[in-house]
Amino acid sequence: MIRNLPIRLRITFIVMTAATVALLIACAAFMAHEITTTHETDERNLSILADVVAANSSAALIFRDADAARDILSAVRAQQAIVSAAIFTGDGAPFVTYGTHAQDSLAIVRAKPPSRWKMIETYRTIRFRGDAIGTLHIVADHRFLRQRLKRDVAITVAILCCTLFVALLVAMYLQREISAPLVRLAGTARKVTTEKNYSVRVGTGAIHSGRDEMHAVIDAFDGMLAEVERQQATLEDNVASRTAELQMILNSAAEGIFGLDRDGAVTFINPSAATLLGWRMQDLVGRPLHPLLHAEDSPEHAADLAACVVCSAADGATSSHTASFRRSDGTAMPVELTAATIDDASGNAAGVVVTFRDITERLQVERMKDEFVSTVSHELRTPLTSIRGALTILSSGTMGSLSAKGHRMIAIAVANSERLTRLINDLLDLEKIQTAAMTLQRRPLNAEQVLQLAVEGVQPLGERTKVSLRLDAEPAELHADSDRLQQMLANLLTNAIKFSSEHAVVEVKGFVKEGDYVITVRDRGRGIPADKLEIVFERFQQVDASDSRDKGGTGLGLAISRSIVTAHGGTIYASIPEGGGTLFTVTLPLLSDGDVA
Amino acid sequence: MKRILIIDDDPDIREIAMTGFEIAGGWEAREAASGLEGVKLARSNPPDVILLDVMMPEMDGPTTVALLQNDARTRNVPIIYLTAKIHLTGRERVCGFISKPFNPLTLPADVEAIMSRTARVVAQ
Repeated sequence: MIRNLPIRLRITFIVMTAATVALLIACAAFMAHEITTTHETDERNLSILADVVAANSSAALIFRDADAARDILSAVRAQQAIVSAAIFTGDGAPFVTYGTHAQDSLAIVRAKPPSRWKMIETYRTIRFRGDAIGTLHIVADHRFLRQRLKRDVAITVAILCCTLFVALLVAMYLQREISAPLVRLAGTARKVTTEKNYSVRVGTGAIHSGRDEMHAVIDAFDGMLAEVERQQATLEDNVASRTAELQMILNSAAEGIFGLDRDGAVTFINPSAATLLGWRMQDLVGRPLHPLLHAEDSPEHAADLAACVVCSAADGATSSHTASFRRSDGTAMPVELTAATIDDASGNAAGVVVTFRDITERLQVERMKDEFVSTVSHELRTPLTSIRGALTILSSGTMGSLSAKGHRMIAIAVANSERLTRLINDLLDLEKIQTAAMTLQRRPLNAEQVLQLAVEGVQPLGERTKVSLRLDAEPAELHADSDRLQQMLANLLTNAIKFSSEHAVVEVKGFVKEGDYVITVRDRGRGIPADKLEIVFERFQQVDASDSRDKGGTGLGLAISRSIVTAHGGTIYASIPEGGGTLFTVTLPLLSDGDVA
Repeated sequence: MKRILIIDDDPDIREIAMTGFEIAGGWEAREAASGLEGVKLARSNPPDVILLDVMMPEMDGPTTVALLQNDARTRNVPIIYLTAKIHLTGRERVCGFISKPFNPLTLPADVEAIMSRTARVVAQ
């Protein structure tokens, strides 16, 4: 109970209790001594009185002179404290009595002794010449003792009151010395907590001086506050400068950036985003954006906030896709966006930050490019068709025979027109794969079958050039575009055969490694110099400038192959194997559960 | 004698294709320089097969196909696209494709192969 009291009251309580206990013990000891002393004095006085009365009353008892005896007893009355007195004859019968004594015999009186606290009594044997002739009994009141006691108690109470008053003063002083600084410390601490004001100090001068523990505590507390204040200031400076930097980045970013809270309301939006969407920044902050953001024909427009892939990304997810946003005037704007979930401290989704870019222009450019590619394709192929057709007919000899030289010239023209055709086809192909990487016709494929098919496809070329192919493939499931994969493999295998000498072997392997399917194609040809292992994947890069003519390549095959593999999420690279030649390693992801919806 | 109608806006290509059929023999080849001219020719004297360029000014391949197939006289004439176009939708209502540049010497055989394949599909 005491523990819950404020220190101020506890100090008072302790001081007062200590004073009271000390005083009570002292008073009790004093009173005990007083009682004992008074008791002894009373008994001694009574004893002397009894001796005198007993000596004087022997004659009266012998002569049975009751009057004389009564006179003697009445002398005792002078003593105020004497309550009663009696003289008994030798056989115990009452002779004379005084005061409260009834006419009881000695035996009865002896049987009923008075309270020791109220009365004291004494018996004396009355003798005459040594013979017992009677008994004197005197009872005295302890009135004096009681009066004394009452007075002592009164004095004690008075002293106690004085002492407690003094103790109270002492306690108040102590309280000011000990409790007041604590109360002030607590008040300051509370102020710091509630007002977040770190500039307040407890201060010691006004209420406390000296070098005691309290002083040390207050000094330490003030020191701590000063440190916190300094840290706070530094922190605020840092936050301010970081905020300014971020603001600058947000403001200067060409991309639109906005943040939404969990309810879809705008927490911030940068000027680019506001401009792109046709709103003023201040009109959007705090407003739910989802109902305004999506163009009428976009799938997000019909979706609830919770189902919207832009305005409420899944926990911790980042998604990138294209969408159609609605401007303030109602027009639609194609955008490419990244939506990233923002987590709060406990890891729950607190909102989403969306970065977007207007891709109207890009889409236009892409459309123009598609049209251009289509036109170029047609415009280039049409004259080529005529040239090749004419040359083919000429070289067939059906239009009349030619000289040997004439045949040779036509053969050169045919070969070069064929090369030009392949070049155009490859260029268009590469363009198509690179721009349409997202539209691969992927489906589950058996890797072993894919490799077998590819090897069978180049078998005629191998037979013509006397190069054999050896296939060693593990079965596995891929998720890929079959035609594109065949195109890529045909490219690698054709290259391997073309660069192999007669009777050489091209080794093709397929195996599963670390969750991927690895395809290797190894020839024993002249190999690729170490410094060109990467360059061969670039457009129109061949190891030897004469290859394009001698081997009939366009210089685009490997660039196309790499585009195809990359579009599948795989890798392709060339290396120099032990024993010479070239090793192409293709890594493709295996079919996973999420691939086939 | 199989009759073929070649519709292409490029006279050189028409000539080379015609020459191919001439060398092969057994073909009666006619030519038209535009879709409209081709449709007129086909209606007046329906051929056994039509070789049709896809990209032509004024009237392109698909429009020509639609005109030919909307007319009772030419509805059942198989049409083969002769095309340099790489982006095809896959929904073209023709029975085959021959891509440019083509080999004029093997062109008749290619056309016959497509025709016999179509005939097989129709028969089934």
